[in-house]
Amino acid sequence: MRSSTFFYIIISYVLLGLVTADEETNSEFENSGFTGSSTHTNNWAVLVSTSRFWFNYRHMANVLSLYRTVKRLGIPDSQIILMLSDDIACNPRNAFPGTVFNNQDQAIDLYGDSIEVDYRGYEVTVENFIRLLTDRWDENQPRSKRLLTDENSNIFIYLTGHGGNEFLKFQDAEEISAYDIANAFEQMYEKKRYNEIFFMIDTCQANTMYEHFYSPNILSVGSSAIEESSYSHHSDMDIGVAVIDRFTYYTLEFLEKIKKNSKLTMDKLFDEYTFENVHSNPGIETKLFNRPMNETLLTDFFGNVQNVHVDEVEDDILYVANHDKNGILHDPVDDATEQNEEAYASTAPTDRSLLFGSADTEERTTLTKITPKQTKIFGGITVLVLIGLWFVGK
Amino acid sequence: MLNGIFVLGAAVRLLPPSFVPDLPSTVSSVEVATPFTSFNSLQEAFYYLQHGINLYDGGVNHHSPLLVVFLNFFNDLPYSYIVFNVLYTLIDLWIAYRLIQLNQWYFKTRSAKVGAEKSEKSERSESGESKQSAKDLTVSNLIKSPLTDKLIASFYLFNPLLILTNWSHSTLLFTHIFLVESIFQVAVEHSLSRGMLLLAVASYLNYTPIFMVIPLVSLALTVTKGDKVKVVEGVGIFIVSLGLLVLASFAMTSSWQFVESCWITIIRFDQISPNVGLWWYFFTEMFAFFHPFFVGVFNLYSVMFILPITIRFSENDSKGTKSNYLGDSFLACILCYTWLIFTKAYPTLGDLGLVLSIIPIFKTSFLSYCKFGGFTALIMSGCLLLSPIFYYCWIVLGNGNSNFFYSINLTWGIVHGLILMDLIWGKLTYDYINENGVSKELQKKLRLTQI
Amino acid sequence: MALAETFSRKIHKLGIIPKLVKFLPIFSLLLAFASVGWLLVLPIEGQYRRTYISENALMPAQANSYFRESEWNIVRGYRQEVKDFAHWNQSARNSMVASWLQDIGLKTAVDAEFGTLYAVMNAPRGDHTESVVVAVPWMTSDMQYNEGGVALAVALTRYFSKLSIWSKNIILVFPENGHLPLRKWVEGYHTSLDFLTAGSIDAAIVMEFGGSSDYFEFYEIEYEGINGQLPNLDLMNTANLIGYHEGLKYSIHGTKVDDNSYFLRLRTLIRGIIKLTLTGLINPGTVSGCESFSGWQIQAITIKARGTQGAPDITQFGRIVDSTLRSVNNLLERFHQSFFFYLMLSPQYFVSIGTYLPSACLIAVSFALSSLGCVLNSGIELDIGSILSWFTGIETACYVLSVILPYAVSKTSKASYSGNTFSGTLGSSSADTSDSTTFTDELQASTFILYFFTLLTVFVSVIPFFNKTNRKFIKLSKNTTFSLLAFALFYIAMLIFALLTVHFTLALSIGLLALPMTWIQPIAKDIGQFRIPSVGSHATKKEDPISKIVMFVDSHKSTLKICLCLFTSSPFFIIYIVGNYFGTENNDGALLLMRGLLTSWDQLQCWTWFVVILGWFPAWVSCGIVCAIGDLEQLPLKDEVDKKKKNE
Repeated sequence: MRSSTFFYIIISYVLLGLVTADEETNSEFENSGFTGSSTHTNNWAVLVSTSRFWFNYRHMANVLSLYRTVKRLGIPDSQIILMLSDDIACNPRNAFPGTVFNNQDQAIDLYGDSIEVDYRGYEVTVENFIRLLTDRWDENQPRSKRLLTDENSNIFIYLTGHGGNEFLKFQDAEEISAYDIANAFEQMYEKKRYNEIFFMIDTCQANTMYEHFYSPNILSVGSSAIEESSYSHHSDMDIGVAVIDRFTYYTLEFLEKIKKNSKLTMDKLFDEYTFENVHSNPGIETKLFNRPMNETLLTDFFGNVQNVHVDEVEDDILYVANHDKNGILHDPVDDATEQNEEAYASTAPTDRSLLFGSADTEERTTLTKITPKQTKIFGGITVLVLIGLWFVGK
Repeated sequence: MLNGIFVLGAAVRLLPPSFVPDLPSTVSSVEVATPFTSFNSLQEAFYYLQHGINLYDGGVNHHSPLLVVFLNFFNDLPYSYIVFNVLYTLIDLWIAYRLIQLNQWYFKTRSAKVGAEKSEKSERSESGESKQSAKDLTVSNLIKSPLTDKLIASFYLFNPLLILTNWSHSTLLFTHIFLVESIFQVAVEHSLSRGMLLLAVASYLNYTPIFMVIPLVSLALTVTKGDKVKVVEGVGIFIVSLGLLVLASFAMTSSWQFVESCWITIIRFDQISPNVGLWWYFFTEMFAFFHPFFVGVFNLYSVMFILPITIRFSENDSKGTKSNYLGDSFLACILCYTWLIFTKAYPTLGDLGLVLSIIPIFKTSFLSYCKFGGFTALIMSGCLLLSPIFYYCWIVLGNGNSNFFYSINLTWGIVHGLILMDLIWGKLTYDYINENGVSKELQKKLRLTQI
Repeated sequence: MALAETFSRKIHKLGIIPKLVKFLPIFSLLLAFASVGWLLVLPIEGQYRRTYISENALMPAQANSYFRESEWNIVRGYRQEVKDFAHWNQSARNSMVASWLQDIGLKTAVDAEFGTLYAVMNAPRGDHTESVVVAVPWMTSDMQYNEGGVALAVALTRYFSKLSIWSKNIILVFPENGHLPLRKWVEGYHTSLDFLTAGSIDAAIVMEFGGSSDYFEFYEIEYEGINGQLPNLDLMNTANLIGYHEGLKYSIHGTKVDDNSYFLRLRTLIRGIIKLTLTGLINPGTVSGCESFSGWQIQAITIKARGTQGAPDITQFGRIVDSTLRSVNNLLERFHQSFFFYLMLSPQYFVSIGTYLPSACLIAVSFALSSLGCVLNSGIELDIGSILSWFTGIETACYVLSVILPYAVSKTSKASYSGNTFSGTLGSSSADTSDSTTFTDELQASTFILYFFTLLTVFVSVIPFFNKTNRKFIKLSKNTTFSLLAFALFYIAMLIFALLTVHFTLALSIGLLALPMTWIQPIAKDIGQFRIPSVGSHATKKEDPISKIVMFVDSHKSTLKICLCLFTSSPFFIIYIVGNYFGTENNDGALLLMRGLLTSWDQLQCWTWFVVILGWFPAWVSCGIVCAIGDLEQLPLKDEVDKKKKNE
């Protein structure tokens, strides 16, 4: 009896919540000039650790911690792109094989059960990162490895690794510059690939990385000012390495208190970023972002609480797609296969192998097979011809 | 006595590798052999040839197909390693013999030229009696007696750099013999067609001599006093012979892969291995995205100065502003070659060795005005001493790094620079003295400055 | 260029160069002083640097070591056993240890040549391409039974096998001592020992904990390799940083970490230079075990426990080794950061190559200048032909000596190599006794060679007294004399130049010890001037013997000086002096050093002997010949002649 009452109360609270939420969206649509809350309909997260090697354990732990947090707050794995530059869980030096911890209490195994790493090891490159943002791939790129955002997407981008003035090192060989990221964001804006971006970076001299952004609706935070290092928070004396960076540690500490339906705003998080905590000067850049911090919900980026936005499409998209200019129905898929088959049939059977490439590449570098004896005879003849020329030359 | 020197030179080359069959591979250090001249990779190529494997599979062999096939004849003989010792020794003796002939030729042509000039000048300056005596004094200084044949042979046969090169059985020797022979044919025998044919073979073997066609044609023009048609003829023969060789190689291997392995690899610096040259470091230790730039600049740098050097130093001055004896096409040839080995992609000690053995020929004319000889020798001995030590520290002990070795390569480059500078400055001083008729007493006080 | 040209014209005009030439010997001497001065400056505050960890991946002292009290009992247990079989022969001892290691799960094998036991602990999750060596000689370099070390090694292995952190294999080696058996094992591992391998060796730690005490006072690190090689500074720093975190005291060359004064730093510097020059040559004395790993790109140090009464316990010593291994295990690449060329001033301070190199450069330039002075100041024409013929002759003779002498020593001492005398104390096996007889045989041969050449030195040095000016028989011409002298000095300069980076301390030592050679020409300038009046005075006072001697000395002052120069710069005289300085209580240091020089190439691939006999000795012989039969009287220089003419 008691349990059913309890259940009833919960349901009514949920209903109440839904109604109020609905009211909010309505009011937002009415006064479109002021955008106190976000207009996004879906949330994405791009989480990147860029450095390799066992001694950079903490970068992998940083990024996995945030992975865990955004997942906990409701972003599904399909909308999280996790780029993990090294496999430290299975490193032979790891005293606890198959695990990654971000705290010396070893309470949470970040590498637990359901981890979906989209890019790993040497796939984490500058090129792949830029391609991911701008969505310029060849046709075979799997959907799970693409950032399929639109103009209603809020994207949380988190980078960690070793940085410097206006650059961030990827792996051990290359680096991305602040301008590269700024230009990629501009392309994303032009291609309507985002509604808002929350860019967070935890590296040395991190603030230099967002200073060149010029596209609208980007909120950026960095862990340290120019000429400053970002520091690790603590080492785990059993694992034998530092397990988390200070900036990420305090971000997490705050986010751990947050639930899916939290109404806390960004400024509360930013209050955590003090010099006492981080040991460097974190930077917060809001000039491109047109909502006040105290009205921007954390869940606008970390969670997946969405507004439903109904398109008012005047033309029937299906009709446009399936009919040609004259209004005659055609099937685009069929067209394509037909053309291919025609082309295929027109080639002679012998040429077909050429289309698919010869299996024996050796054959293709030499015109005919030639025996050593023939080679020697040719050589002998050439030498004789040279000697002949010698006499003619006089 | 000359025979004695030849016998001794032959013994030095023949006996040690015959008694110690491992000697060629032992002395084939990075300084002496590169992948493009190494005897080891040549033997690998023999194996490929005998077993019907494509000669250029695996990227080990960079020797021209014709060379591989030709030398394979010797490899098939019994006691082939002795046969090779004999072959390499004969090549060196032959080059030494040609150098002797070139030395005699150089003295003869220089004295003939100065003789002609002398009479011409004395005719011209009959009006100015006062200057006459001074002029005569100078003219007698113009030509000094040449080094004896013995010395020229010794300079070649007992040059340690060349002995090392010979012991290592570097295929550079084949390039050398064709190059020297081609200069000989053009200069002494006045046979442009033979010279060009031989130069084509040399270029075919090693790529770098390809640019020698410019100074050599210029030398031919001087020697035969021919007109501009000779240029077309020479270049034509050169291109046709080279084309013939390339086509023959294609026929032999039935693939164009040899072009890639023998030449393109050199042009693109694809074979990453340390050597005594200036450029390898850029391709091993620097960012890969600079490589196309480096390839362009280094190749351009190598070619760029050939034409200017040839024009400045050869005798063919169409305007007739220069006195006739001031030009020296043979010097232009040697300067061009020194420049080429200075800037080439995969140089060895033997490259400079040849130049050092040719330089004494200029004793007849301007060599006494060169001042840096001792200094250059000091730096050179320092390089030769430290280069293997630093390489050892880098590769074997692991406590040095490539910078150590490369610093010596740079110094080795300075040696080239000093030699070039010294030759050019010596020649310019010589020209100044002769043109202005500076007497012997004045020469001692003469101090020239480049402005 | 224009500026340089103007400058050079000025110099030419003022005639500075001839004036400078006259002062060349003084410049040369000043440079030699500057070289020593440079070394003395290095320990001054501000000239040296504090050690630091350069490689990120090492992360020393960032992990807890659990080799603590609970393991102490296990160490004690093993140690009791090890103590019990102190008098067993080698194979029995080794098979016992092997059985323990096999119980722990290691594969073991024995290097046949010296019966050295080694065992491999494969990293459970590693890729088996790299390894770290822990070498535990049964006999420490101080001739103590390495009880603690062996027990500790086995207990540590037991502890290691329980951890899941290893990315590199661990190899344990138990040679009889740290000298020849260990060296031969290292050589064998890279050449012939195919049945049990564990990938390329990155680093090695030689562990010495003699005696059965549970405690020690501090630990000492030795690091010098043969042929001037040093381990990467990061390895030593790692061990020291771990020691610092453990609260231990440590020392280098007897200078502890807290000792910090100018003279202590200078002492460490000088001891380091001498040690590095002589490493491996005097046994016992300069052999610490880690030098056995030189030449194979292995970074090796020896850690020795010192004292028995301190606060630190044996597990703490084990923790140093454990944590150092764990740091090396963290490495992703071979040691390449930090320094390979350095001189230590204390466990915490060092100078790197760029700072100390000028000191030997100055010496080299000093030799080069005095060589130049020999040519320019003696007013001769350089006679290249006679230089070549004379020097080639001398060099050939020296080459023959360099091969024959070691051969003779190895022949007289039968075919087998010697271990060292003291391995006999371990057990009474027949192999050990034959080793010690070999050793004495080698020593006798070396004694003969050393005394022969020292006497030769004395003989050659005295000859100049009989080198009369007017003698016609066997006399070098003035040109040949000074050309040869100049070339000998130039040769030394080039020798120093070549050794500069690869073996700095040897280059510096030879430069300083051979310095008297550079004074011969300036001294010889006085010969002619002193001799002529001496004849007159000699005739007047014939009777008085004392005054006769005084007169003789007075008249032959410069000849005497030349003799001294020759005598003190002779390599064999120096070997005698240096050896005796390091001598043991038997006063046989010189013989041990001579023996070490003669046998070190065959046994250790140490080429110091060849540098001495093919570099230093021929130059000295040239000087000796010049002084003995050369025409040392020099012509006055041109400008002096001019002056005289003017005066007249």
